[in-house]
Amino acid sequence: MNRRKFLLGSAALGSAFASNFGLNSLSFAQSGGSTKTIIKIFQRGGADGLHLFPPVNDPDYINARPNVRVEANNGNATSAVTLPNRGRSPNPGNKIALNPNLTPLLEIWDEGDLAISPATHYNNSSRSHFDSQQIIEFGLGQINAESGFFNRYLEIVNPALNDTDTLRAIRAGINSNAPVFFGNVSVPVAQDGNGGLISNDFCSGTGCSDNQLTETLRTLASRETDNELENHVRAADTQLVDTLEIIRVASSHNTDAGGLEYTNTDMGRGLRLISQLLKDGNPVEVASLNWNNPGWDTHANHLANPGAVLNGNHAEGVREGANDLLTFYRDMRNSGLLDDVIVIVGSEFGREVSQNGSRGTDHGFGGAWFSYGGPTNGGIYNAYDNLRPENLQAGRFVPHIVSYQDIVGEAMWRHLGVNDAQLAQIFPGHQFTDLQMYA
Amino acid sequence: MFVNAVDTTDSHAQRIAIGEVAGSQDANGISLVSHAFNRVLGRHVRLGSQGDTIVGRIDNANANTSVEVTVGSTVLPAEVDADTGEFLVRIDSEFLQNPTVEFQVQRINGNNRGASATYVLGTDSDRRGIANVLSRITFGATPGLLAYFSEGNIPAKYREYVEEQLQPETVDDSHFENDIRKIRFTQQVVDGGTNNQAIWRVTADWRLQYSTYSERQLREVMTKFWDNHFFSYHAQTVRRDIAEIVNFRENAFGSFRDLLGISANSVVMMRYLNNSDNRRNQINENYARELLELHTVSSDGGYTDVDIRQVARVFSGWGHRHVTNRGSDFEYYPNRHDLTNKRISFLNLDINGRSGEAGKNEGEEVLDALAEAPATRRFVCSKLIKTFVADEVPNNILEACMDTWEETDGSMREVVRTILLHPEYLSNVSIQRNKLKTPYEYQVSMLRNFAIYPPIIDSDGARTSRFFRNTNGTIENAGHRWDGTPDGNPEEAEAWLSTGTMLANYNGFIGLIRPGISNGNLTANGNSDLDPLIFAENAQVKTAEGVAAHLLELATSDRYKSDELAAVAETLRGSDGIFEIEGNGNLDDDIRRAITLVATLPNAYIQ
Repeated sequence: MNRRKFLLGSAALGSAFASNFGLNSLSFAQSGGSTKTIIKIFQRGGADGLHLFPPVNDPDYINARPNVRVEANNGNATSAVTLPNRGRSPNPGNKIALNPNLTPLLEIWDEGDLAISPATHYNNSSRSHFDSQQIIEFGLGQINAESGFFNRYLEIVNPALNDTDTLRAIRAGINSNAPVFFGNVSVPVAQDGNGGLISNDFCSGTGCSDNQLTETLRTLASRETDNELENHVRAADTQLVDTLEIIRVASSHNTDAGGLEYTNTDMGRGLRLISQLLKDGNPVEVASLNWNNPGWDTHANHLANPGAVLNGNHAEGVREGANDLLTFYRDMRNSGLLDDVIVIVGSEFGREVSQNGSRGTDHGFGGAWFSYGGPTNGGIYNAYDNLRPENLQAGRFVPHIVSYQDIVGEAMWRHLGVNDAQLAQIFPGHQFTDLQMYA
Repeated sequence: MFVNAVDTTDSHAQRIAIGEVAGSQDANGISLVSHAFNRVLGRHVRLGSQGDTIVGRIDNANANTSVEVTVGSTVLPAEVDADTGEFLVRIDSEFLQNPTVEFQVQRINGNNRGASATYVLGTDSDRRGIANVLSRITFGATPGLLAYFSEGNIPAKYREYVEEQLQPETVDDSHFENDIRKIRFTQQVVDGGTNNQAIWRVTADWRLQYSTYSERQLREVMTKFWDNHFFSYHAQTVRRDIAEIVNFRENAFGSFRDLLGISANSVVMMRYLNNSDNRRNQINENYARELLELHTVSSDGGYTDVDIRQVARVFSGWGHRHVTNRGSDFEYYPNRHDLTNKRISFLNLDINGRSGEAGKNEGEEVLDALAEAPATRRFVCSKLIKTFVADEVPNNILEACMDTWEETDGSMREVVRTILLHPEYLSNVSIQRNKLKTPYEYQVSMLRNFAIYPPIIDSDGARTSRFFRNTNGTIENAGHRWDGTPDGNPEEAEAWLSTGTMLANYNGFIGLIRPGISNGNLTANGNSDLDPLIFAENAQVKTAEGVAAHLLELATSDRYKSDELAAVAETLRGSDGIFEIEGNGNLDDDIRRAITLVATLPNAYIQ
C-alpha cells in the first residue's frame, strides 16, 4: 500500500522534466525572503463553476438546468451580472457572466485584475472529493503522495530560509490543514485574534510571570528526542510560540477597504490575518485557506425554487466570500500592496452540466478557477465554446481545457521568480503552457 | 518479560549483584527503593529502555539535604523529602540502550557535598507498553486504571481486561449510569425540544460524557470509530442522531454487515448524502459513491463511474418520511425505486429489478456483497489499525485482521480482539508512542488522566452542561467537526499536527481547569471539578520531583523525559523556589499550574 509519509528526513523528488515556458528564468534571490505572495483559496466540496460563472445564453446550459440556473441579465437582482470585455483575454459576446452573489467581483473585473478560467482541471482526474483534492494539492498526479506543491516550493526555493524565523508560509484558519502544505517543511496554522489565536499567555496563578509558560515550552521544545513524532510536536510548539508573537504584533493593523469589513468566517478571518501579516512586513510567500462555508457539494436543492438564486445558506456563503475577496482586494490596494499579491481560487472539480433528480448536481469534471491581484491580466481564459454534449467530457461534464498547474505554475514563475528547473520539481512531469495570465 | 521479582538466572541480574547493590541499606547511607511504575520493591528490577524513574533514600536527611544524580555527563538535581529521605530522578532512554547503566548519587548538605554511591543497574527492552496501550484502547487511562496495571502479571491482566471490555455488559458501569450529573437524553427530550440547535448541542454533550466516564471504554472507542466511519450529519435530522449513535454503540462489536445496515437504514445518513432524493429517473449518486469510497471498498476498490450509477439505481427509493419537529423515520418507497435490472461489474453482481417492498432487497444484496468484498476488509482493517496501532499500518497485523474477518464473517468483536491481542501489540516498541491524539482524544484524555469531572451539580444542572459545552467547543475550535465532510475526522497525525489545533486545545483545557474558588466556595468561574491535592497525596515521593513525576506518568503513559520532569518540578516550586506539601496554602494553585504545563508538553499530545 502506498501511504503518505510526513516524517521524512529529506524528500525524494520526482525526476525533473524541463518545462516549456521557453523563456529566461527570472530570479529574485532575495536573502530576506520574497515580498511577493501567492494565496491559494480552496473551495472544498466541488464548486459548481457553471453556477458561479454561468454561460447564460448557451441553449444547452438553459436546457440542462431547468431549476438550477442563473438567467441572463434582465434587470432583476436574481439575474446574472454581465461581464463586459476587459483586459488581455476578452469575453466575446459576454458569454461568461457573473452569479449575482459574486457581484463584488465586478469591481475587480472592471479594474482588469480578475482572470476567470471556466474549464480548469487536470489529467486522469478523480470524481472523489477526497482523492481529487489530494491530487490537485499534492500536484503529483496521485493520492497519498509525500508532499504538496507549496511545501515543495518551500523546500526547493531558498530552503535556507526555512531554518530562520522568517514567516514564509502560513495556513490561515483552523480547518486549513490542506494537503498543499504536507511535507517536510513545517508550516504554522494560525487564526486571527478574534476568538481563535489568543495572544495572552497561558499562565495563571500566583508567582507566575507573564511569559513563563511560553518560555518553558520554548526551552523544552528546542531539544531533540529519540521519538520522531515527539520531535515534530516539539517543533510545532516552537513554531506556535513564535507565530503567536508575530501575530500579536501584526494584529494592530486595521482593515482599510473603503467601508468594507471582513466577515467572521474562516475565509474572512483568514484573509484579514494574511493582510495584517503582509502590512506588518512579514515576507509571506505562499499561503492557503479554505472557503467552505457556502457548502459547495450541491447534490440537492441548490436552488429552493427556480430563480431563487439569492436565497438560502449557500447563496449567503457565496456572498460572504465575495465580500471578503473584494475587501482583501481594496485592503491591499489601499495599502500599496496589490502588486505583490496574487489570489487563486479553485475547487477539486466542477459539477455535472445537467441537474440531477433533486434540483442539484452530482460530481463533475472541469471547474471554474479564478484569480486576481495586481499582476493579474484580467479576462476569460480558454472557456469552452459551448456545452453541446459532443463537446463535453463523457458527454456530461465541463471539459478540461486549462490545467490548474499552469495557473499556479505561472504565478510561481512570474510572481515568485521560480525558475524552470525548480518548477519542474514542484510539478514534476507537467508540460507547461504559458497562459500569460500574470504580468 | 514482565517479571518483578529478582531473576537470578539472568546475566543482567548477575551484573546487578556485581554492582554491589546488595541490601536496602547500601553504600554510605544511600539506598535505592524502587522505580516509580513498579511500586513493588524494585532494586533488582531492570530499567525500561524507553526512560525510567528511580526512587532512592538518603539516611538522616533534613531540610537542607538534596541530591545530584549523575548519569553520563548529565547531572540531575533532586529534592530530598526531609521526613522520609526519599528522592526521585528520571533516567532518559538515551542512557538505557546498553545492557547496564551506571549512575552516581551524590548527597548534598546545604552547600556541601556529602557521601556518594555508584550503582550499576540492568536495563531491559521496555516492559511498559501497557500504559501506552491503555491510552488507545480507552480514551485515556485514569489514575486508578494505571495503578491497577502497575503491578502483578501484566500480560495476564491485560488479556483479562480486553476480554471483559469486549463483553461490555459484563463491565459494571453503574457508577457512571447513576451519577446525578449524567445528562439524561431520552426520546422524550428529543421530541419535546423544539430547537434543533439546542438538541444538536446536547447530543454532543451526551456523547462526550460516555467517552469520558463510561467504564465500558473499549465500546466507547469503537462507538466513536463507527460514528466517524459512517460519518453523517444534517441540520434537519439532529433529532435522530442519538438513535444512530445508540445503534452503533449497541452493535459496536457486532458484524460489519449489521453496522453497514445501521448506517444505510439511518435517517441521518439518507438525508446527509441525499439518498432521500434518489429516485428512479432522478438518480442522485451521492450516497452510492460514498458507500463505496468511504464505507466499504474505498477509492482503490476497482469500481467505475458506471458502477456508482448502478448502485445509485439500486438504492433509489431508500429515504425517510417527512421531517417534522418530532423527527422522522427511515422509509422505503417502492414507487420511487428504479425497477430495471442492474449490473455492478466490479462486484460481478447482477441485481434483478424488483417492484414493491421486495425492491429494498436489491440494496440489501449489494450491502451483503460489499460487506464480503476483500477490499472492504482491507480498508476497514486498515482504519482500525490506524486507530489502535499506527498510522503506518503494519502488514502482519493487517493480514491477521483480514484473516480473522474472513474466518468470522466480519465479527468486529473477533477482529478487534485479534488486533488488541496480537503478540506485538503490547511489546513492540516501534508501535508505541507513535500516534498523535486527535483533538477529541486529547481533551478526553486530559479529563480522564487528571480525573476531572463536571462541577458539583446545581439545581438546574447548568454547570454540568457548561462543562461539556466548553469542552466540546474546544474540540471544535481545534478543528474536529461533527458537521464536517463524509470522510469524517481523520486519524492520521499529519492532519492534527498544527499550531492552530494545538493552541485551541491548550487554551480550551487551561480555561477548563482554572480555579474558581472564593472563600472556599466554588464560584461561577469554576468550570470543572478537579482536586489538585489528590496528586500530592498519591505521589510516591513527596517532593516537587515526586509530584511532577506522578502528573507526568498520568499524562504521558510514563514516557516523559528528564527535562520535562525538571520543568514541571520547577513550576511546582514557583518563583520562591520552594515546594512544600504540608502547610502550603498555595498547593492547589501550584499543582493546577503544573497540570497546565504538563498538558501543554509535547509528550501529552502523543499516545
